[in-house]
Amino acid sequence: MQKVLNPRREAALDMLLLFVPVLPFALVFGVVVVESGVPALLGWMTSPIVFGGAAQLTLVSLIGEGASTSAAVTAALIVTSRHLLYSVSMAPRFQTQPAWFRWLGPYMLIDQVFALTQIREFESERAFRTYYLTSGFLFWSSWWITTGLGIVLAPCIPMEFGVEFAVPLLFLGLLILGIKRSPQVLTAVVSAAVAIAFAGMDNKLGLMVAVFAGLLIAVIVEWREPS
Amino acid sequence: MTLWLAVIVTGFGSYLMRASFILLLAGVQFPPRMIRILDHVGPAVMAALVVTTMTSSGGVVSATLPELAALATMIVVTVWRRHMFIGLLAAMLVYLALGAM
Repeated sequence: MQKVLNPRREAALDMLLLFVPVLPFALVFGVVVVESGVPALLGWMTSPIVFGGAAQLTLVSLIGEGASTSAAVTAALIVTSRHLLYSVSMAPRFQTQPAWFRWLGPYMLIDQVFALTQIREFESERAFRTYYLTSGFLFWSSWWITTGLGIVLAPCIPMEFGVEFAVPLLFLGLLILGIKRSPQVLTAVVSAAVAIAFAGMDNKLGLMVAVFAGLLIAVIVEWREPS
Repeated sequence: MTLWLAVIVTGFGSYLMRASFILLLAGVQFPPRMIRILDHVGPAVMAALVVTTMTSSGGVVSATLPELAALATMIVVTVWRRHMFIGLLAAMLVYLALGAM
């Protein structure tokens, strides 16, 4: 667990590293928007309005495939439902923050921002807030700009990137650095195994099944510990 | 018009999910056991995300030899150096080197 000394600078560096593998994903999203036939502006505006790559991709590609809008919206919201868990997990941390931040912060509560706050230690509430807002804003603006670039450059983007594999690697790195106590290893192993077993479910629902299986184990393990 | 509505509803829904518990539980005292259980949310989601990002659109999880070697390298180097960038660099080098062979 690394302590954050200069929140603004460290947030920028951490976010830069996490954005590199997201860049091809942003460009691919642009290609998907163009191929789906939805208006380019609408596709692009999903970046600031929804601000969640997986949900945006689900929404736009399902509409492109001719699904009804209600089905596409439902699927996108299912894909993004893990954010409910981020919200529970972050709730204690936000209790000591000012109200305006409790309203603004969740807008930026994406996978990367959540994961970074789990692996960093902050010396004050203010340092946490600065780090959170800096990383969130940088990711938000980079995402907005690069998905726009993807839409503009779509016709000349080659679709074979080797860097895509950096995405699972980064989540693995965030997982390892986020582990503070050994019972968490069991949770992660159970979750990964169940995710593999249920990978074939629609709308990536297997992800939520896996997360709940992992958390069930966590409840059992933590319940037996004296508190 | 319906499409814009779809985007706005999805955006609003995403925000509500992210904000829900942060806003609802702002004044609630969490028991220590609950806090300990919440420490597991990160590992559970991250582990599942590793698998999901390796799943094909057809719902099949498959890993080639270079991918498995890269995952193993990521685990070993990140646990050893406690630094994500070094782990990622080593894992990507292994991945690209084995992929080129």
